[in-house]
Amino acid sequence: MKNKTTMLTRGALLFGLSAFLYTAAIAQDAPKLNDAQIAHAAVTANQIDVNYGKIAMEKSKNKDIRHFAETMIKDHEGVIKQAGDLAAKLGVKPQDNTLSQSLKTGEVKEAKALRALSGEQFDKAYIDNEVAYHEAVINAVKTVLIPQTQNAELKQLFLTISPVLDAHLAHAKKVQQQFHASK
Amino acid sequence: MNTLGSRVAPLVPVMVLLLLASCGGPEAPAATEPAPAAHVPTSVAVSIAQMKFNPDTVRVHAGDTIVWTNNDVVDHDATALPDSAWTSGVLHPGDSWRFVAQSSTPYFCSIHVVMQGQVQVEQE
Repeated sequence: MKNKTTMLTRGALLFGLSAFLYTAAIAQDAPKLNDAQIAHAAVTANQIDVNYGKIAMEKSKNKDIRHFAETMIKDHEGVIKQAGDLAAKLGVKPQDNTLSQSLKTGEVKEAKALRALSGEQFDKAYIDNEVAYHEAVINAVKTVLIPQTQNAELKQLFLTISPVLDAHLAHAKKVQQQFHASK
Repeated sequence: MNTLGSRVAPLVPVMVLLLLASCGGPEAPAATEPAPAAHVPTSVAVSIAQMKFNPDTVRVHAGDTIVWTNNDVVDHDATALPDSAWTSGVLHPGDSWRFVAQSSTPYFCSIHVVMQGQVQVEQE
């Protein structure tokens, strides 16, 4: 059972990441994303991690997992607000696109896999996903979203939140390391 | 008739004393050394930006005030390690917190545990 659920989680995770990175790779070539699409993808990526965090707050009793999840919820909700405020200021209406859709497809599968787990299995799967998800998002922000963004203020927002994502990844790896080392 | 010698003679002891005082000597009181200037408490700023404390090590004297300001886009705090002997509480973007340092201690952001800093209190 343990192996099965772990494999399910890993499979869903890999599917989501593969789709994400594939789409990101496509986006580096034509067609390019416009700023409205980039804004939508940014909000979507942040919202997905908020959603993962809420699942963790529902299911986990591990204090390190809960602390990390709470931080993800607060930080990413803050970034969503800033992105929304900036889009409103710029008169940009976020536009759905293939990158956002790919992210959401990955989320649906990952969330389903996470909800099927409990206890220690959930905690491991959640933090493993957080490490992988942040690695993928950081890669997309640095190689796709920042280079393609035309508006200077939107580009600056991505540059500003990049260290936040880097710190989240370091935090996730720290929790992951402690979690696995304790077993 | 007053001679020059008789007029000067009463002044000799006074001149000797003045001479001794000006030259110093083993019996003369030592000139008082100026006391080291007392440290005037000052204020030192630490900026929290891009998920870092800047500077990450803040060097102060006991009694100095450290002012942390959150210039980042997310909430932070400054909390003493390892026992949370002091903490700023949550600092929202734009918030500042003042703390009078008395001893050296490492600290971190308890929200983002990978962010760490050091308060280094220099000895007088």
